[in-house]
Amino acid sequence: MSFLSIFEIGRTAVLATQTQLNVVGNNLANAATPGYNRQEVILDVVTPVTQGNQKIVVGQGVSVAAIRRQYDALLQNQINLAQQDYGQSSTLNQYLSSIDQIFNEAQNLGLATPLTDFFNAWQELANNPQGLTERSLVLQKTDSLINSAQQMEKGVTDTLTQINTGITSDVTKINDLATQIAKLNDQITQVEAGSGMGTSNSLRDKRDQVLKDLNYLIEAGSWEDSSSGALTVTVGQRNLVSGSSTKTLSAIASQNGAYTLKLDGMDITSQVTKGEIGGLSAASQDIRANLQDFRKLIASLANQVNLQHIQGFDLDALGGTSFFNPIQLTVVKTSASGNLTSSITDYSQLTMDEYAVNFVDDGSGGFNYQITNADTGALKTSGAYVAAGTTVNLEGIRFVLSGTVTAQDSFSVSPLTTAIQNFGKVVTDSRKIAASSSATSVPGNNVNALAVADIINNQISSLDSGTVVDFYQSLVGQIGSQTKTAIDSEVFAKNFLGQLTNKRDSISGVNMDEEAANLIRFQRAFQAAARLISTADELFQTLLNL
Amino acid sequence: MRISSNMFYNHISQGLMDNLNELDTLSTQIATGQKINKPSDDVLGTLKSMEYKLTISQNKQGQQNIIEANNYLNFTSSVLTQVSNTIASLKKTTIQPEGTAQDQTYYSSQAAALRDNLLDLSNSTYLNSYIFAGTLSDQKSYVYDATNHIYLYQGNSQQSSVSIGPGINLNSLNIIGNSPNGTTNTPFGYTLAAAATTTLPSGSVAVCTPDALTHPNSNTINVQITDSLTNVDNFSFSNIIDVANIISQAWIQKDVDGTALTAQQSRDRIEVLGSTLDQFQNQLLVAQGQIGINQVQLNDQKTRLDTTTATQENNLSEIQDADLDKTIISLQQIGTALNALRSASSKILSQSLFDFLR
Repeated sequence: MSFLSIFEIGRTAVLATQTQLNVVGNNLANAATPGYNRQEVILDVVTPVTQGNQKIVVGQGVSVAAIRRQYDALLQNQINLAQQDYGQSSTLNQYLSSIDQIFNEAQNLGLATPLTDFFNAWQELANNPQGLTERSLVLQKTDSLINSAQQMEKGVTDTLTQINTGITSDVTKINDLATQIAKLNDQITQVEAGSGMGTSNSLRDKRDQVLKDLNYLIEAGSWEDSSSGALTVTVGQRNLVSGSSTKTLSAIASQNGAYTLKLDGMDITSQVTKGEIGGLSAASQDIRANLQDFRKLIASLANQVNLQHIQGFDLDALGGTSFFNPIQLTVVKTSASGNLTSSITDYSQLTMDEYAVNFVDDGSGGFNYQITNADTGALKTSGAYVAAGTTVNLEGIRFVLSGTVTAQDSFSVSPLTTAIQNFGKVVTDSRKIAASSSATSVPGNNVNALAVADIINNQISSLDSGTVVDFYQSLVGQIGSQTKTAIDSEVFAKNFLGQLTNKRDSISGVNMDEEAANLIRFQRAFQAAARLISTADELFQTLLNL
Repeated sequence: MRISSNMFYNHISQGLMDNLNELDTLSTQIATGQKINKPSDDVLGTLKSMEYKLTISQNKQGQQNIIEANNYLNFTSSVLTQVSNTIASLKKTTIQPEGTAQDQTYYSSQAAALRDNLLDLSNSTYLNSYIFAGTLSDQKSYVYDATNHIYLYQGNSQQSSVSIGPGINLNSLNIIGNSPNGTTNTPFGYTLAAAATTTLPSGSVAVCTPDALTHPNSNTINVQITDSLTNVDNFSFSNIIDVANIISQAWIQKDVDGTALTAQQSRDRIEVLGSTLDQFQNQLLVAQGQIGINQVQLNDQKTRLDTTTATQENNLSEIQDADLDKTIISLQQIGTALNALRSASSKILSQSLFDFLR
């Protein structure tokens, strides 16, 4: 045993305590850093030596075995899953709440007031069918109904635009986070390879945090390669990150306003239901369904008023025209050389359904056309397709199909797409309002005005055989329930995530008091180690002074 | 359980947020006076309140319609009262003794004035509509046809309805002046189902026959008076104004076109027409009765609407209005809890071992 080994023991102790003080300092510095896991120094005794032939084993000091982070992988995984639910529900809540505000009947902000005012104005007209004031009132209330419906639709479509922007921006963020994980994978593999000193704590903390952020956006599965330490991240059962390489996620807009998510060329849309992007998709789907109902309501209302108004006679005993702009059909074509023209032949037959036209191989070189309800997929009619021209009359609509088609071709025909955009009044001159039911009893006859006013009480087949008001109420109820569910889910997901975060903080979080105590402890240890060196020095001096 | 510093911060900030959210909800309720501020607050409540609001709005429109219909009926009724008074005055002119030529001229001018008064009354307007012209309410009910010396009904016999509540209409609101075949009781036309023969005090025989063909728009009555010397006097009338006109001319022993009548013929005409006036009065009573029935129905319906509206408004208030006393107490409770949390938090957060280290 050398006398100098006292110096050596002192040196190892000084170094070890210095490391401990560094770790305490780092813990204190990162106490508020998101995703930081508390670290602690794992000490080990330096392998003792045997002294000469006396067989005495003497300690050689202390060494730093590792700097370990306090980390629970299972809990982190649970947090990631909870993040997905929280991301989904809070996004859904955010967007559905804005629709809830647009249809806020609790504050009289929706359509109910302009709707009842419109029909009440027709009753006022019935009270004095030749009164120009009453006639102007009808036009005024019509404008207010039109404006309200159009503003509400704009609010809804603006929200849908925001959702679409959200989806594209989320896709960019997801790709960015994937690149960050790939880079961190690379760094972790390099740092940890053959270091023998355990893991690269800060890089792993950072990667965990990025993965947590990623899970807020999309449901991402992950597993770690124990040999390289690289994390493989999967989305929709396909690899987003694999080692240091990434695949690109893309969002492709479809004609109906929905988005298709593709990863590495594969459609993974149906597998993405959670995270912010899952919430955006769900919100978009709910809101588009609500918008369709809203358009159906306006289209049916306009059509009913038109059908009644046409039967009447105006102040000049002329036959009534359409009161609102007649319903227009919108055709969307997905075909290279096929054509479809459609026109409304009987407004009273309209069901306000949206149609899909497809072509099926008939097995003998030709095609059969199929017209289905675009929402439910229920077959409406089908028959042999003649390329020179096939005419189908269905529910008041004439479909004329022609041209060469393939089994992939399709058309969609909708009376609803422009129903609100096109919602305007044809009658702008108050004399043209057809209040009378007979040309010979103008102007005192109010039968047609009463009939229009009574539409509010009529059951309309295109509105699920309910009245205009019933249908609107069920729409408001539906939006309210969807929003309420989203709010409840968000509260639950937030609380659950909060509890998990609490658990994680309990294990991995920094406690300042604890660190302060350690600071003193390690300071004292450092002072003792230093004193050891100083004592050894004094002893050494004593020897030298002999 | 190990406690980390972040846990304190998280708990405190979460607690503050929860309390502030509750504070926000309560203050919104106080600001708006409503406990439901958006459909998702209470979906069922929102739907119920929409239902109540719709009923209230429709009822209010119904009440408004009833008020207007009532005003219209009151006006019509007052006009008919004046018509009745005028006919009573006309009746007086028919039962005067013959008197001197001067007297007769006076009676004639009196009857003429009453005729003009009846014409004015028949052309009464309410809100710029001629009330007795059926649905042709932008035209005068009666105009003078100078060629044929008769008063023509220009209206039709259509009656209008008024909506007096959701899905409920009151039909036959207006009183029409004249009906084409006399089947409907009208205040100005004359209803005669079949030919009627009367023997006058002078011994002359008068035969009144309904004639639907001459003036398809109104029921015309042809009168033939045959005196004891078998002299025949033919004339016709369609309405009370015609009657007043014929009486006025008869007093000066003339027909409506100015041709001379004998004293006997004139006297017989006044006699015959004087006896029709009672039926005109009866017809007016029927019309007034119709107005009365309508007004009773309107008032009954109004009472019903008033009661339902009051109930619905009460229900609406129950569902959507915030209980302010309760809300304010809750607000104070939250305020107290929030302050307690702030005070406790500041103590907890200021605790540190570092303060004790030298």
